[in-house]
Amino acid sequence: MSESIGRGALTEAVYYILLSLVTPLHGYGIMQKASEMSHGRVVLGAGTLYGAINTLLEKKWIQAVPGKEGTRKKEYVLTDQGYRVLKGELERLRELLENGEKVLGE
Amino acid sequence: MDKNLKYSTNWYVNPEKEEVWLNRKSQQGWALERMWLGGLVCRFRHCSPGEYEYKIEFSQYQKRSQQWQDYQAFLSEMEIQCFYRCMGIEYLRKKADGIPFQLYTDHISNLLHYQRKARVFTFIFIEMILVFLLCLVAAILLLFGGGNRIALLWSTCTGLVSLCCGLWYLQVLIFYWKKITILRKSLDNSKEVLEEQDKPNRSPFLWFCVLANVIGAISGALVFGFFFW
Repeated sequence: MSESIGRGALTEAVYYILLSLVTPLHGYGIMQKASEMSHGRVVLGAGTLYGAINTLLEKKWIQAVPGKEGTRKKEYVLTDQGYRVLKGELERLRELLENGEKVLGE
Repeated sequence: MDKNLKYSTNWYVNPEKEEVWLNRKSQQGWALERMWLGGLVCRFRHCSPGEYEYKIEFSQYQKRSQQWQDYQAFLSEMEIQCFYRCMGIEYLRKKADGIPFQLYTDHISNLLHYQRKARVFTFIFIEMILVFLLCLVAAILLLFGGGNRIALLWSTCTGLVSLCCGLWYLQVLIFYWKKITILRKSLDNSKEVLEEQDKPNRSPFLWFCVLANVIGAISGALVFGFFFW
């Protein structure tokens, strides 16, 4: 919870990037996984994704890991701090969902 | 004929229209193969209709910098190739695979992208208006000071051409400012957004413009001095 105080909501793009990087993945894989999880609704352009990855690297929410042998693709994975941010965001979304269901009675 | 040469009519004037033109040529079965003179002259070759998709990007990285090389490596993972770059403006190409070719898909990165383009065209617009004003002052001085007629004609013609170019660039700028205004309004005024916007976001094309201006100002002053005195 403390991770989200003063930070505000994550954008959908950042949320899905972090979610995709629970296990190490390269750039194109992140794009595909985010599209798959959101049923094609969240599309990550190459420029957007590159900018977001650099921002997340600076914030130390993700880190680069050596790619698999024989490939030049860089891979990324969630750090402990990134994992805490993701959990905090999930709690925030859960609270929103619970209150919405309570009020609207669904 | 397997190849043909065309001149880009939107060369450094309207990158949005140039993108549309390149993609329309691709739909007609002509793929952009090579460019010269900064993109003014384009050579197309036959391809299957719609085989390639094109994007024009105003790069935020210096050529051959580590960041630029990392970005090119990243794009190549998505099978996007930068096949031509001049003065910070890059032409990107991808084989059509049914997925729309989009570089920027969220408000923040789109905003930064339009700001980069608007910054370059704002610079060029101000430069054109300054040249027009200088030529106007020169023409008035020459007309009432009884100066050289050739110099007067030169100042008048240069001034008019600069004014026309300035007004042309203004309408492109208005297009970008409208996009930027819409994107700013749709974004929440969150700390994260402001942090994103504080990052350096200058196109290398601006450095070329500064250099061109310095050279142009010195040559213009020399020519003007020669005719006037």
